[in-house]
Amino acid sequence: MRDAFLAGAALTESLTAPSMAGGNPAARPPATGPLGPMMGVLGAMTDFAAASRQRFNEADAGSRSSPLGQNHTAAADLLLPIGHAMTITANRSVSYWLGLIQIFESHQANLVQVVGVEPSEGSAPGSERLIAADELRALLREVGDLATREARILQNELSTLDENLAQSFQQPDLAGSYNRRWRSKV
Amino acid sequence: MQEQSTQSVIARLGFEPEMAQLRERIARWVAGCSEELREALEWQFLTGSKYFRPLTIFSCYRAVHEGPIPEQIMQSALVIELFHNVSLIIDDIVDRSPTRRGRATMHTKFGELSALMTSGYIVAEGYLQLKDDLAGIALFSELLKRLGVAECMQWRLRRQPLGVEDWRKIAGEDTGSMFEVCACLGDRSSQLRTFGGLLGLLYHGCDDVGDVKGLAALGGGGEEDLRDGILTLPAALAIRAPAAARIFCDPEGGDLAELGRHFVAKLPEAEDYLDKIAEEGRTEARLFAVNPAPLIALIEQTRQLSRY
Repeated sequence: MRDAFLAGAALTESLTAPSMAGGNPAARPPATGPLGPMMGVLGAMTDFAAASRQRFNEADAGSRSSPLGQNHTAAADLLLPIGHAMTITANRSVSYWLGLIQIFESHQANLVQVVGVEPSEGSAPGSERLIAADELRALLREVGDLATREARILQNELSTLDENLAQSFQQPDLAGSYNRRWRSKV
Repeated sequence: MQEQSTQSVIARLGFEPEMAQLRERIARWVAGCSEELREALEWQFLTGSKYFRPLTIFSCYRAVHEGPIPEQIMQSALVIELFHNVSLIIDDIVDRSPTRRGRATMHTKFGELSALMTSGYIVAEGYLQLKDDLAGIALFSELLKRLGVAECMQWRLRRQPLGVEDWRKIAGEDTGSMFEVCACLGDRSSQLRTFGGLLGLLYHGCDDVGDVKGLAALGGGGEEDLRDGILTLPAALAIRAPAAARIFCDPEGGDLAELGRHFVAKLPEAEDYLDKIAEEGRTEARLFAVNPAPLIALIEQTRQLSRY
């Protein structure tokens, strides 16, 4: 369970790593650009997730070393997974927004062109409009792909946490041949 | 050269025994088929296949499971090779291709009736081979339906001024669906479905670019697509220029050689686009496979297809 939490929380540290969603990290403007305020908010969310991780680490260590450790451990067994799940969810949310920013950045120049395209005369669409439509469709697809990917990662991470939780709550007398061999979710 | 390279990937991933077993199973299956069709089946199956689709199934299995390749996966690999050959036979009839891999196509050698009837026979045999693998049956049904729809869609949308996103949709339903199903047959959890789709898209795009390169360098390859106004990746990029779009949409009134030159001019852009798809595939493998190495090897191998 603890490993699952650490794995989930470690994602926080990788949030600043560039995602592949069509973005060029070298071309990312500084936080003072038009996306600066959003980057600031996301940075704060990242810090919050990291701080949460630290708090949960401390709570876990404290409960084990305390004289009343047994009672505290029982409570922590229930509270920690909730914290883990919240951290995982927050991480994914931040990751999604960062990915979204990268996609918009990579399409920024094209979007400006789309806005500037003159309506074509006659029935046949002009080539500029076709190109603009193609670029816009690429943007929409990338946003959709990002959402799906992040949702799948979230599902995997929560599934791992779920499985670890089931393993740790398994009754000791069911060890051996009765031990869980299945995953709760595939 | 492509074949050698696929063989080297098979060796590197340690699938040589499985491939030998697959080859033997196919030979045994052909030997047990109706005498009436055996010669045609031997012509189609016993020479020249790279077994890239079975390799994809084995690699996707290895990416999420440990241990030897189980019987059910071997069976899926056999059936995907059968169904892939059905798609080749039908494609060759539709495209009126006289040769494939340097040999006469089945309909050229045995006639269209034999080719069509043999295709039906192979499909029926494929389902029989799957026995009680219900998940496999569902996936192969999905594949055949999507391939049929994709072929009709590709034909309906020919000679139209469409874009790269349209190419992506058509290629995703055509080659993409084949590799999506391969991935699902291998991992048996659909975890790698998106990876399979990207691998198929990459394969389709590299094939498109390779054809145009062949057209430019050797005076061969890709003529059918050019003649029929099929939306390939270089075509989708080239017809953004109105001059190229005019010839593409009305080949009777234009010079196909001129259109070919427009395609050649767009090859660097097409290669860049393929690099992006390859990167999407690598990321997908790293995110969703326990062991991404076999999947990344497939991506690298496929990406090379347009570079020969």
